[in-house]
Amino acid sequence: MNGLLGRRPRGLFCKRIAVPVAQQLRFPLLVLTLMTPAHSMGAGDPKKMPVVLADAQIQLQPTHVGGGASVSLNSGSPTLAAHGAPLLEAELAVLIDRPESWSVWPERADLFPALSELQRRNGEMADGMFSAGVPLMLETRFNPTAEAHLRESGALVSRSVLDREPTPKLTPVPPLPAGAKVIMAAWWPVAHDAPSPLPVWSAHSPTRPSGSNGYLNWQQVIAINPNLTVGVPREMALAGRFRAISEVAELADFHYQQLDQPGVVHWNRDASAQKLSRMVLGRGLVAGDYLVLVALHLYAGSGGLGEWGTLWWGDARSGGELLPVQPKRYRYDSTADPVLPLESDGSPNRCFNPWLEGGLTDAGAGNGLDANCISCHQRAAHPATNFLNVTRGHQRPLAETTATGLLWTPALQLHRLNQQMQANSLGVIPDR
Amino acid sequence: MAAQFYGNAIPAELFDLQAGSVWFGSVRSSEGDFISDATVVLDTGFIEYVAVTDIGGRFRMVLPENTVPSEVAFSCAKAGFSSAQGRLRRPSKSASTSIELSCIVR
Repeated sequence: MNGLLGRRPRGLFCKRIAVPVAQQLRFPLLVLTLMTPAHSMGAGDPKKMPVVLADAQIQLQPTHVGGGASVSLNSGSPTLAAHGAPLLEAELAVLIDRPESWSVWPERADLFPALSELQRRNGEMADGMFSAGVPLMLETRFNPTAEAHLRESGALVSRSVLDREPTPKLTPVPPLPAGAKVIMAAWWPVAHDAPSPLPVWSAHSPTRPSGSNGYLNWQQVIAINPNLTVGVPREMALAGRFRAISEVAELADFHYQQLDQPGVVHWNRDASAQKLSRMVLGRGLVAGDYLVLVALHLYAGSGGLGEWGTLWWGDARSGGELLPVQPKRYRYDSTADPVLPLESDGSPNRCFNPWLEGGLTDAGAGNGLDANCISCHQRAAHPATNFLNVTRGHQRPLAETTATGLLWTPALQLHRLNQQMQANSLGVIPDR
Repeated sequence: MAAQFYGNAIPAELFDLQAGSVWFGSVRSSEGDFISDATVVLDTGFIEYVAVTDIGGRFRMVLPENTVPSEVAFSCAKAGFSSAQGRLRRPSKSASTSIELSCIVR
């Protein structure tokens, strides 16, 4: 059975886009990239970077959302308008409308194989990476320009280099140039033979002012029913709770892929995928099951801070702006600056994805709903520090660390390789 | 699938989790059969910790050391069942860990 990746326009037969088996095999296993990864930041050319960083003004103005208040947090198009970045909307639309265009980009596992290898060996370690063990099925992909940039900047440190030099000096990684793109997609499992539950973010529901607002807490739960001959129960088990179903959606309401056996094998190397499928389906993935796209981050390089867009599946209650592309169920927000344009309360710009940042808790500057993706990625550096302290406003890497160009993945790669080598020396992880 | 899925509070590769509050237990059916691939959620009101039972119907989680058991709400569920109930068993005397959670799904 060939791998399938595509979407079906309403009322029509499924539009199936064949993806070669080789690509299916590379379907990601990403857990680690999670809050890290797929983006970069800007600071001009590498020689200027230290100066730029030194000049960067820390303008941290945490603002907390009132406890239990009804809020709408993502500012949506005003950000785009203020930055004159309507192209970002088009970029997101293309990613949704033609997923085959990015399915051929190298994924993180290709560029950072050691990171993935360690994850495979120690899958349970990756489990805690997101929202205290609340998983998503993630994949990060780099377009050829981004890949070339990472290679040229020395960000892809190989295992052999580390064998020679356990603590290699990483030169500052410049921000992604124009034309370079990195995406991180989040998928949700759907059984091929039964309705599957899906939580839906509502920006107007009460939220925890400092705690996690991950999908476990979202009030609305719908069912995705790929088989219309099967009825949908009024309540379904989802992630440890029995939840009332408010709506029934079809696969056509999503961009989705159908898993073949190689795809199942691939995802089963990912501890998060295994865990999520059990939390949602009550079993592991099997061939024929579907994955629907629930969220996607885009970082488009510009040589500076770049443009950052994020979209999530939802409805009018889900905040953001409606992406003008079929199926019209994806909302989005974007940003090109960690501060501007200011929010209506005068605080720094806010841009988050409820699926990807919603579960993050307050680390002193607001939780994941008070986040701007650029702020987090401005701290990306080697040695890797705690990237979970999301915030808004300008940030910079810690002193005596080497900026990794707004990308967390190179920093984590080195961190994990070093860790792996230490473990090897103790005989914990056999070297291959 | 023999692997057990842990719901550790902190990314293990970034932080040394030297101490923590251990929560463990099982999920069973009303007939007494241990249920694999059931989900157990411990909600502190601040964040949730999630585990999936292993092939023997057991789970184990390590929460932050300062977790107060009486402030933790727990739940469990599994596709194909319609309700669940659980019971906590705290350690005796002054010990604060480990805490056992027995869950039954119907």
